[in-house]
Amino acid sequence: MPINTNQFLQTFVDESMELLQESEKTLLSIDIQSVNSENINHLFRAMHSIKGTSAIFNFTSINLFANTLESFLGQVRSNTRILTKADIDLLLKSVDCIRTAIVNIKNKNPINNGELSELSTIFNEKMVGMPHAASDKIGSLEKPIERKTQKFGWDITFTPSRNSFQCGTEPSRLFKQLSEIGKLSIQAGIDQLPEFHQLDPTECHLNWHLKLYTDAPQKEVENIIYWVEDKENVCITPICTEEKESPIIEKKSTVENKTTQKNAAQTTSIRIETKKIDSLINITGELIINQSKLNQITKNFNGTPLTDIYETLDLLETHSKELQEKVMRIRMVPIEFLFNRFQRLAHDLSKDLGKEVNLIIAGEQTELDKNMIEMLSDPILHLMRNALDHGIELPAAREKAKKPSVATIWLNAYQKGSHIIIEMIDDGAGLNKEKILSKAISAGLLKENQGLSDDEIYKFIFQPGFSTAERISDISGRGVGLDVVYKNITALGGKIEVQSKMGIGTTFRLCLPLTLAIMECQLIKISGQIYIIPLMNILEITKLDIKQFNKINDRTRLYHFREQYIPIVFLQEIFSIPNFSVDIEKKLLIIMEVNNQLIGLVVDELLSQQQIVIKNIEENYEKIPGIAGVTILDDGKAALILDINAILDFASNPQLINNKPEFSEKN
Amino acid sequence: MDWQLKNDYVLIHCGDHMNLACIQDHKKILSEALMKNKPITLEADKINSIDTASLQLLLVFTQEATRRKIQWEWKAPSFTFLYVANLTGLKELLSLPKE
Repeated sequence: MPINTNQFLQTFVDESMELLQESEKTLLSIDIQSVNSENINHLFRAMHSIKGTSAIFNFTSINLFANTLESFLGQVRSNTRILTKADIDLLLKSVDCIRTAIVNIKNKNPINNGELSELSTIFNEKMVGMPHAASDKIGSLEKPIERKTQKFGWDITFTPSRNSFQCGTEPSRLFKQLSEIGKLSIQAGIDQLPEFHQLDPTECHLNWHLKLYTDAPQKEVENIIYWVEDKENVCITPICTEEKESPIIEKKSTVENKTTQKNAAQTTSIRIETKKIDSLINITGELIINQSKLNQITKNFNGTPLTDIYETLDLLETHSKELQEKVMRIRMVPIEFLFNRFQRLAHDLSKDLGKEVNLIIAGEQTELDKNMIEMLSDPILHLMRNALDHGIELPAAREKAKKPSVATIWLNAYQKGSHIIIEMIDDGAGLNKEKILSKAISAGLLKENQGLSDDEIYKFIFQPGFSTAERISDISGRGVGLDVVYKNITALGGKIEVQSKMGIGTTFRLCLPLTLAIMECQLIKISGQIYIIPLMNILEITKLDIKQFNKINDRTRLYHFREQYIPIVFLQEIFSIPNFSVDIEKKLLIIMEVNNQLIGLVVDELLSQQQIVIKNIEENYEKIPGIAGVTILDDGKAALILDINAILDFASNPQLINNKPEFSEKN
Repeated sequence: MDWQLKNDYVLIHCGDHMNLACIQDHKKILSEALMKNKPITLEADKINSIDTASLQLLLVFTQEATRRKIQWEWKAPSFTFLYVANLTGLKELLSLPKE
């Protein structure tokens, strides 16, 4: 089978993004007064890698731009250029530009060569005071400049698959044909050749690097090569030379566009440490041993005591659990992928706001479910913007308050039991409780100061539209953001704690489950059917007291629970279970908390609490309102996991419910 | 292809055609020749057609002989052989004469 390079495109995207993120981190850490040479080496290596890999996939504009950056960094490295703050900003802009190009590749969109070209020109002018060949090349991809003196050919890397000889590919014939359309220089690669005794002579272990100096357009070269060899084994890129007459260059690199559109991978990928894979292999080996042991026992079974079987089953259980844990850990990635993005935000935003901020990141190696990391990006972004815009004071105000003019924000992560704690601590002005209370009263959220605790006061800042900011900026202050933070974090099964002291600073502490795929749950029974409620939503379980039950109308019932009335719902109504009747006196009530609101769910029976593996229902069926997913129980039957947010919506909007119950409140 | 043990060296006749169809036999012959642990002369004057797989085999063979410190040399390589070796970029690697 020929090697399909398309499958490596996702790796290219992932690796490039990682390199860009590292480069950004390095650029932000550079102290312009004493530039660390290792930082420059690091940037140089990153650009070199991007240059190399982009060439493999024929992303010519990225390749050439990375080459320009490499040259620029080379000058800095060799001390022929002194790095300035402006250079760092320009390099950061370049990182953004390449990142956009990579995202476009991922999303199968065309690359904006114009942007790369513009930046390239600036770097070239900085380097030599005149346009550089590399930037000209990018420019030529964007605009078909008539450059009669430009000379071209094709650089071809040919790595046949092992079985290409057996498939009838004869490289010498291919090279002969190519040599007929131009001057061909051939370099054979023998680095993959095995020793004589290991050689299967029917397999191809050679590869070639060809330079074809020709006027022939790429299409003609492709036609010759692809006639005999799969595209995946060949890489064709334009070369520039002063030796030959120029061919006509196409407006844009057709290879690049084609590859971008056709080959972009659809799926996301995850990089896994080898030791994680090794431990999975080990445990799989143990399971196989268990299985053969069981086979052996059943084969020789003669009714003698079952001790061996029980022992083996115990081992099987242990190993299965271990396997489950290890498989779950595969999805765990270091949170640094998320945290590192905020270095840049802090750098850019503090500059825009005229503030000086030092962002200190700790615990970046803490691992978290990959999906969770992606979903945490927005909440932390909002918190950071809020802290920078409203929390941190201007340098003059800080000096007046006898604080260092450079503010500090700490972003910290650590594991606590089965949870991950993410803290954002700033040494800014802190939350003004009086202001929050007065705003809450004026917004009608509170009648008067009812002697609320700090926690209760701070909860108001997560209300939609709530803002104490006197000034609305494009960064924050519109009262949109913190409610999103709250909503997103609770949707992830997490909680937020706020601690603040006026003049000292504020701490936002996010507490999140380690993974979204496994959940501690309560199993309940309603109308003979088992349902599942996430344990984190359950506040209390109580026997339903008929005296506290108030029926407002056919659809709305309230329950008097600890000095407040909470809506209660019957799942039978929501899921349209026909002809159900409710004998309230025999029911249990589960009090649940969602988004700071309480809701009661009437259930027939309480079953066990257990850890469940969540399976997506939409992938196999369709979205069902009120259902978050499905799981398989011990007996192999499926049970539905309730979506408590949606249940709350049903409770708040009874008109959504169509099923009219046969209500018998009393026997 | 076959080989002969001469007084103080092994003579390998490469034959008229070297291609994938007979490549396993050729490897076996070359392997036997190596076992003699004597200087080797590769007679390539009759080669009328040769494919890249066979060139790869000859290259690995010559590398192995060098590794074993066995002297080896080409005898009158044919035009076709030289042409294909040149076309595939293996001529120098096979230590074939320039002309």
